[in-house]
Amino acid sequence: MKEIRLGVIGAGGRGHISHHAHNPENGVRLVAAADVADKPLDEFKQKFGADTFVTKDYRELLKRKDIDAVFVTSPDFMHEEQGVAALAAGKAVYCEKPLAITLRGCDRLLSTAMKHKTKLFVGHNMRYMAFVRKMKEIVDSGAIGRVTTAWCRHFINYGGDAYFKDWHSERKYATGLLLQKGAHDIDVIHWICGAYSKRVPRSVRFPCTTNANDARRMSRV
Amino acid sequence: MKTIKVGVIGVAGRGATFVEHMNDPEGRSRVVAGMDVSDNAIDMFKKKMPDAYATKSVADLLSRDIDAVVVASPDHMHAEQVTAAFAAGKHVYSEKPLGITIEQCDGMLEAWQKSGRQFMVGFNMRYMNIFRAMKDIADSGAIGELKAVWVRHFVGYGGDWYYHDWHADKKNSTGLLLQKASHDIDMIHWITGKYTKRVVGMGAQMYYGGDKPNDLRCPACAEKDTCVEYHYRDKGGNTMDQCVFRKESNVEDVSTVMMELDGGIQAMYTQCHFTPDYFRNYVFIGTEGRMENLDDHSKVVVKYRKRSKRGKNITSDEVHDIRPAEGGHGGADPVICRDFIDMILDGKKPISTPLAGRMSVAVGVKATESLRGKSMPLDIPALPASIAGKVY
Repeated sequence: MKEIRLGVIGAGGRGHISHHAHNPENGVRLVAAADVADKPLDEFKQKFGADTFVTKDYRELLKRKDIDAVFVTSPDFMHEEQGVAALAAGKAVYCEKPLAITLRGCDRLLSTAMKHKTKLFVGHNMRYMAFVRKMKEIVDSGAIGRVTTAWCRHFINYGGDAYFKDWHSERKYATGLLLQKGAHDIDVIHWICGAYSKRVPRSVRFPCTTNANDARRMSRV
Repeated sequence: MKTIKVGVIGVAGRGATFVEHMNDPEGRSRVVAGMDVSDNAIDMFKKKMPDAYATKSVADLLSRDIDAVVVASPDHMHAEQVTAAFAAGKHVYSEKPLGITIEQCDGMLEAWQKSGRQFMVGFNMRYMNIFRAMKDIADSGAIGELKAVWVRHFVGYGGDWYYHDWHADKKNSTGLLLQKASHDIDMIHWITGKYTKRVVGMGAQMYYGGDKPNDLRCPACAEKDTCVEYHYRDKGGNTMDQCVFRKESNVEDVSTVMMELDGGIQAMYTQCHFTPDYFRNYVFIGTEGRMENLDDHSKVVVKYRKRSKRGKNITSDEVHDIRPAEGGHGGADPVICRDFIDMILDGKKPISTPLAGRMSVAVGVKATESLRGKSMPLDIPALPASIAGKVY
């Protein structure tokens, strides 16, 4: 059986998800990594061997004929460019969510995959969570009748840590957190209801009131 | 000691509560007259209050020697009756919602200002222990500055309360985001201390309504032995048995409103009228923590955002066990009736104010307009100049 050889673009942080795919005994091997930082590349070599290929230019990784598939786990705003390039290079792609930060970007990824007959997979890992699968199963069984309504509340206690200390907090990189963070939940709603959204109201207004009392917040240790 | 003589317009259903609680045990108020269009309601009223005057005419009731009137008729009749009561020189308690249009509410506020009498709206949730506790926590500053409010309303009684009778037709009620949610919109206003500036609505009728004839009533229905929505009798003696799947039913049974409040607070309220359970769940999120009620009467939890707890999934920092109360609506009905009488006799400013009644209706009207259109954001109209700054 032919070995499947994997690369990862964006090797640090979320890139670690690719480590789960590394399974040489069963013919899947992680062999290459691209990142703009030295540290994740050093760690990658340490973990997966000196003979692995690492580069700071993802295009070098995509040029390699011995790589069948790549994980695109870079920041959201890079997914489109890197995913399109990977698909055009004939690689199967696991793209971390959100697929892209614009509709146009998503459509480009889909059409590139169609055109090159390459496989595209999006990292909506909540579809693999036990509680979500159970809810889907209950709905699909018909036990609660025809689904008419879905409400989701999302309490994000590490919002500051996860989204406001880096690129996520800028619209040009993330569009917004309803897209970035909500991508999972919107997908779960689509998946469990078995229907895609047709229409959404625009938000009332972008909240721009940042008058929280810093001194008081700091006292809450 | 003076005894306030009270007349009740609409003595069955919700009105029966007032017939009971407007009779103050200490003698500060007494129900002396009742009006209803139904014979059955009049009979029940006479049985309960043999000494009181009973009539089928509002004008007749208003011509009597009474000090104050409770308006507990269907929503679309409030405006006319409240205005007439002020013209007759009575103090007025109007059941919520104050009216079914903003113009009606503004007209009532104007009539009130002209009359020199006292006015109050029946937001009895303001008198419930659990919501008073949440207001206290918010006011204490414990969870910082309020920024977001999320309310989910599971209306398990939706069919019983709103689709077996006049409520199901929008010409009588405007919609349930106005009728049912008027309490919750008011809670959001009251606990945050801010009124809504702008709304977006979304909703649909998904379960009730249908092809059944408008004159079909449950007892005569071929499906009466199997229908889950078979008719309902409330504690006040009303029988609601119009078919919930009848053609004329046209109010949304699932709806959501997003609100921007003064000061930028964002609130969201969502209701569904065919849930198995009845529950309103409130979450208030501030800059330093959040609070949530775990049921309708007994438990509120508070969680704090602290550096030492960052990222940890805390169940609660504080659990507030709420003191149980006696009487209808979580103990609120006797208390709100007392507040009305205190307002008249002692000049006490009521907790449930007429302006709050108008603002809640305004949100319901505009949210309904938004959802029946293209879910565009709509501004809440300001008060007319004649009463702006004068009403509370």
